[in-house]
Amino acid sequence: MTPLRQWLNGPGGRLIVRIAAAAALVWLIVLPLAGGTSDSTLFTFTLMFTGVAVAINWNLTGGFTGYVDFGHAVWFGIGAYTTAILMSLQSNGLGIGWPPIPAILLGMVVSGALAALIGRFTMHLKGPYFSIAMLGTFVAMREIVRTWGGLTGGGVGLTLPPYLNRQLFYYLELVLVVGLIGLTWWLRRTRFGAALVAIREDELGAQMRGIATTRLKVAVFSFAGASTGLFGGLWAYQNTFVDPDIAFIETRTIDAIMGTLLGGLGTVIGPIVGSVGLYWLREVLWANLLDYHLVAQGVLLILIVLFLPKGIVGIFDARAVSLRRLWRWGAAESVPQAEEDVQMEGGQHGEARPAEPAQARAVPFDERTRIVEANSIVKRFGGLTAVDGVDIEVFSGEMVGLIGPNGSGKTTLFDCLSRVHSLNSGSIRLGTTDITRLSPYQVARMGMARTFQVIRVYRDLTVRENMELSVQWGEIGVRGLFQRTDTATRAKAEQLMDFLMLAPMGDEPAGTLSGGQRRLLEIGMALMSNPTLVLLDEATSGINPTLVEDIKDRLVSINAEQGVSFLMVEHNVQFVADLCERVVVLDSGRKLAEGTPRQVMEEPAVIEAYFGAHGRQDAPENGGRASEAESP
Amino acid sequence: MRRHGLALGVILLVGLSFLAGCVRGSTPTGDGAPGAADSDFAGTVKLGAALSETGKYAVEGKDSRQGYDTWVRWVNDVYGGIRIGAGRYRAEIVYYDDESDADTAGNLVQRLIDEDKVDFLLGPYSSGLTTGTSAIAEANNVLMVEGNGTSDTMFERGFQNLFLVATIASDYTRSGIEALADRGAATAVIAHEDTSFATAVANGAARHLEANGIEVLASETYPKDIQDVSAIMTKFRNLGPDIFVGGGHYNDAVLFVNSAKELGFQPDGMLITVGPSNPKLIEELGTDIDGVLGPTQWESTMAYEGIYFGTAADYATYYEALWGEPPVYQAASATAAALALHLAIEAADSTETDDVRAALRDLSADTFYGPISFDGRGVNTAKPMGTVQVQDGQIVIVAPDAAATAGLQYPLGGGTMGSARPVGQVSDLGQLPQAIVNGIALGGMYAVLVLGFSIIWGVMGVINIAHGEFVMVGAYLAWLGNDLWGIDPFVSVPAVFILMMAFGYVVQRGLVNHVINRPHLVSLLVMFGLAIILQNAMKLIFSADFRRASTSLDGSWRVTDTLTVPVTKFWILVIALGILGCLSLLLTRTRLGKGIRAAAQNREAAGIVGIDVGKVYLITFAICIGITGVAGAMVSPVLAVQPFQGPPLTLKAFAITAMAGLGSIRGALGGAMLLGLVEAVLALYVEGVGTNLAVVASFVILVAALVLRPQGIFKGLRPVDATAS
Repeated sequence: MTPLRQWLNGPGGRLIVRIAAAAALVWLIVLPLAGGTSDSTLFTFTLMFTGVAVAINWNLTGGFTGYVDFGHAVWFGIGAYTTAILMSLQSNGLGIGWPPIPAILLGMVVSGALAALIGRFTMHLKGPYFSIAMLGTFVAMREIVRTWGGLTGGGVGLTLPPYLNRQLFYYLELVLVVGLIGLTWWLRRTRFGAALVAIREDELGAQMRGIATTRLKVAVFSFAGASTGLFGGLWAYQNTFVDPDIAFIETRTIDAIMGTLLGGLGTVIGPIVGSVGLYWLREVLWANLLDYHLVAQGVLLILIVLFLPKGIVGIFDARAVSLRRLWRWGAAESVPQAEEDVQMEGGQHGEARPAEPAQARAVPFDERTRIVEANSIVKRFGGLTAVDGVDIEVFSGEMVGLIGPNGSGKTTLFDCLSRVHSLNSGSIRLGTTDITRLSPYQVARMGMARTFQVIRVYRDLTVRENMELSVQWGEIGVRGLFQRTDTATRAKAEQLMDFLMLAPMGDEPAGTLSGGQRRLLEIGMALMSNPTLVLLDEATSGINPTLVEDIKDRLVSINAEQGVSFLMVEHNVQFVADLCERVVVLDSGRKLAEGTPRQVMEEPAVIEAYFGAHGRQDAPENGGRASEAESP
Repeated sequence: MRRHGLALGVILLVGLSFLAGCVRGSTPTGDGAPGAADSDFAGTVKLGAALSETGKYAVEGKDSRQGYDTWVRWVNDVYGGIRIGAGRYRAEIVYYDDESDADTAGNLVQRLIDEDKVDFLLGPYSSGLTTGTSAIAEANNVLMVEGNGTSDTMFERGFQNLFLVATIASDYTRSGIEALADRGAATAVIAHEDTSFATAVANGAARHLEANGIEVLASETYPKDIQDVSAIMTKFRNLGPDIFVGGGHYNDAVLFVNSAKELGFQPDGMLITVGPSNPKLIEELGTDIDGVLGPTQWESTMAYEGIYFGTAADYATYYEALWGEPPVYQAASATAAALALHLAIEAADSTETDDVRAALRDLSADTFYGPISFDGRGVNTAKPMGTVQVQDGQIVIVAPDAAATAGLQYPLGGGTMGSARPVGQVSDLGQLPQAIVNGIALGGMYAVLVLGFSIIWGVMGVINIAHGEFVMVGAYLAWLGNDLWGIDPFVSVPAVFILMMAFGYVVQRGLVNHVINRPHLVSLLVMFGLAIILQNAMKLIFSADFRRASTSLDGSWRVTDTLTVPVTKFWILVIALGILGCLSLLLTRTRLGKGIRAAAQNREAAGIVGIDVGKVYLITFAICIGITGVAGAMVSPVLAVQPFQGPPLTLKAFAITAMAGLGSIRGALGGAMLLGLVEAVLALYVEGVGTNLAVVASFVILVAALVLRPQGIFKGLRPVDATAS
């Protein structure tokens, strides 16, 4: 298998594939012209083109973006009905008998617009919930069409002026399908396509790295809806008749899903290979199994799912997505237990040994400006107040440590700053802008990058792709979105990978890296976006001590050379003490102390809270009062 | 262990398919002439038809095919071939299965024209499929003669190549209404399925009612695949009409008869469009359908006689000898369509389309099916529609007078329909108690239908999209017990529970276990495959005929004149509450229940603390499938039992579960009640399209609930993480 895959992906294989595709296209073009080709053959092919197109559109949201749509046929129905309502001469309130081309085009526009509207709401949901919401939308829309008899003809349906030129429809749909294939092929190579894959792999992570996930996924959903609506309109015209049950039919969605799965999810050619394969497979089953062909089809589906989760294309193309990767819960991985232990040890060893204050800064102290200013942040989860009125600020070029015992609210504070959580009260300014109500992607675009306690990398993408996807999305603009990654970005990614010792793993999927390497990758991804401030959430946890030293060196040089500020949550106190000139200590959601590492470490309340086991023996009640005293 | 289970799964799949195969052998496609040698004939006249062997029209498709084949057998074996010139030509029909799907039917008809090069087309079953395929026939200038697509709209297109031997839809109720008007009926109500055919029938009925001086008090529509019509019947009961006209599909006949009985709605006459003329359905419905009227295209007892096939009775004898069952009118219409074509070919002495078209236009013949003569639209206007009445379990013809075999019983008195006049008009508010009772009864039914689905999803994370099929299998088991040994479906509940648990055990071990650790999508697709297999295997075993189990716990309790309680649904509610209670106790009071809840919360953690998660899943799945089967058994007297009844039920289960919280027992009950009440009240208080709107509302509520409160209204067993960011 592997040599075959290698050959196919090599220059020779690519040439063969291209020649085969060109030959197939030429054959499809001359087919109707050849003598003896019947209308029924053309009709069969036209229906197949429709099936392929719907599968391609489904794959845009289902395969690339990871949103499994159970109601995709709704757009087909809406396109078909809009066309039928406009073209029909029956008394349906309109009865205007439009010519076909504007009617079909308007059908496309209406389904695209409705998809944008409905997607705006349903794409907030993920996994099965999105799927069910779309299934519900599909049924609701069908019943609305049925009930709204004045416009749609109700259950009786609408009859269109018959016009059955098979050859015309054949060529029209051939051109459209080839165009659609070209479009997806191109889209997959643009930043837009890459961003869709990032959404599938880790939506929150993508958002935190500056990708406007909602806008992109609604855009692709709307495009898919419009495209399917276009084919729906063409279908209505050819069928000369629509009623709710034939225009809105579940099998259209099911065929798109089955075809895409059979071919290969999330690939450009998967839906094509799969839909065509499914079609011929049915013919074979049908001819040979008669009464059992539907039973056989069910068996077949189960076999595909169990034994061919990456589809036919997946045999040759490592990039095909296993259907087992969709509908996962929680895209981020959990830190393995063993790594936690290492981290705890690190914490113990790094006892309060206040070190030399940090090295000279690129930016002199008095020239610094305030980058982040958060005032009285309060965040509650139910009855628990995780962050309770904390003020925190970071100046440009500064490295600030945020420490505190487990459960003291450090990561929650990070999540508040990077806008993952909404605040119960308080305000945050980034530079001169109030970001209290902005989205994570907007904050990321303003120069605040972060890493995560629970590592978030796009596991199925290569290290290089991970890096290239983490650009400053704010600078890309709409045009840049539809271009491939530029050479400057690529050069920068290479340089950073070198710097972070990731270059040898550039082509490995990020999921195969070790925990420490993934931490480095995350830091690299954060730095790719030209941040002014990076929030590091336990950058050293699970990393062996020599690598920790390397990370420390890298951070210092980035800070010194580029003036990037860091705010770091750390359990490794030594690490903080070595790097930071200022440390903030949290306990039970409140700020316990603030100052240089030395000052902070000498604070009795800190000793009590942070090294609780020892402190409690000395002054158990004292600590309790100290933290109470700070409460507002 | 794993391998063992997988083997079990393969055996399960193969076994189901094999079982299906044993019961019914495969039928040949394209019926030629087995008796006569080809050399006897000068040539072949090739006809083609796309017919539904699978999907929603499977029953009628099979009847139509037998009708066409009856003519083929007769023309080749008995008649000796179609006579053209001096020669005799063998008749041959090429069939394809259109799967009840419009695209497939269109494609197949195109294929028949282009590749099989058929000389003529015979119609598919249903107006929906005929509409699209006839446009293809028209465009290719091929004649299509048909007897089973009767919607009026098809004949308003000015087509030259479409001919209908049957009476057109708008005239279906004509003779029945005329007979009822003669007997003094003065007011009527209409309810019809919102499909092409049923709407055409209802619009025609409204016209005939008006023409006969009968006032139409109300007209209501409802969508396909409906599971409850009690709101419509409640409205009608309050209006107190003389006659009820309604229907659209076999299942609707079951629903209307049941619902009228539950609500004590007793009009003097009931005319149901589809059902009363079908002996199989009469058998299923028993005495409940006594007195009900229905239109029929044709009955073997009608006094028609023609040159070929002899009398209607002769035709029936010939048909029964071939197929082992008496012909229904769909079969006779199919035979008549082929016969009309046959007559026209002989009259034209040609197989050229233009000649035969001219001959069809001029045709005027008496046949076993009645007189045939086409008007300018291509519709046979010579044959009147017959009206049958079920009298003591027998189908008798009561109109028109020329064909009648018995007198019309009207008003219905002394029969099981009762003789009490409907209650008088009450205010809108006065109907609210009945709406609430209807809603609670419906909610109880929904609750027991969704419970198993909800718990399997909540505990195991498996979206059992084959849920409706498990309901269907349970319903068939209850029906089988009822049919073979006369066991009441409520009595067979324990047996069904145990059998379905065993089935659930096998499915879990053989199939579900292999996908349980994968994302939901994988298990969902596997269950979808299983659903397709179950539907079609059951269809092969039991055929697609509609069945219904009868129970002694039926009828209604009359609380006041305007408030009745449906007995069957009341007991369903009682048992549903019992099951919910037992499950609640199981989950909260037993060790197993704690294990189930722990596994639902966190599979890994439960495993680590020593809970045998595999066993917990096995037990959960088996119990839930058992409950689901019981639900099927209990609704077998309420909903028609047939292989394709599952998907609408699965959809309801989806809606209620997603709305109410995964694996929440209270959620299943609360969500079901909420949906039942919303549907009942909305359907009652909105004029005309209330039942349609109730269905729209239930799905709008689903989507809105998901978007606004994705964690569900009630707290479920499983922590929900439903939003993307």
